[in-house]
Amino acid sequence: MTIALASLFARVTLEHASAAFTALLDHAGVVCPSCPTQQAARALFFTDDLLLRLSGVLGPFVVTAGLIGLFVSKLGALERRRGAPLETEDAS
Amino acid sequence: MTRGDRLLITSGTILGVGFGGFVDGILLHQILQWHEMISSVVPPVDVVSIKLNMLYDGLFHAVMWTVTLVGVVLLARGLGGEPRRLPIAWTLGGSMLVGWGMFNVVEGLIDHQLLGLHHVHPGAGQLAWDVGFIVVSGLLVFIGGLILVRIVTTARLHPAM
Repeated sequence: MTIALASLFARVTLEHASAAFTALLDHAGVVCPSCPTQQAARALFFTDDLLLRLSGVLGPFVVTAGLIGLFVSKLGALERRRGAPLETEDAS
Repeated sequence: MTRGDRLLITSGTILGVGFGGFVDGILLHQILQWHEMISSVVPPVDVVSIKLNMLYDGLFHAVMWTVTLVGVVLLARGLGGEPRRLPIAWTLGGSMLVGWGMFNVVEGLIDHQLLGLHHVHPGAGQLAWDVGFIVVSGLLVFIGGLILVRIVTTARLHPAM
């Protein structure tokens, strides 16, 4: 009973969230299935240019790599902002 | 953070991307047969279209394999004699959660929303699945980030951790 209620609640919440997200996307007019930006991006991806296709597949990896670098540097900055660490040596 | 700590966190996030990608590829793509790479543009309805989707899924897995290898190499360097202060298990676990979630959020935004190449579970409620995917992935980043921030800030006070 509890699981069924929780599942129902989760589903209703998710449906509301997705409706709000759709409205937001439509309002922004940038990324939604019928928006010109997505249609143009897809048209570009499906040209005969292999390099372009591969870069489409690799895009998320490249962006994630950048974010990982940013994340690690921010963690280091956070540690420095909290005060000098007891051990600051770099082996290199 | 020492150089060893940075290597451990970097390798953990990269391994999180890799292992998260394998969960995605094995569970969602192959077992459930959802989330195939170009299924919104070339719906997998016959052998030819299934093979084309399989090709792009294969490229995805090949890149994931390479990413995982890079993570393993960096992990070996991070554990191999570099000075470290952070606890290995928590640092690696937190980093992996961050990497897993981070890639999924980026992949969700680019492939699902921007390019519209595929959706998590194509069909009537596909946006709900896409939103759920991004929300759960964001949660992974949040939990992993909390773990890392906590150990990075407390390891300074308790270097023996």
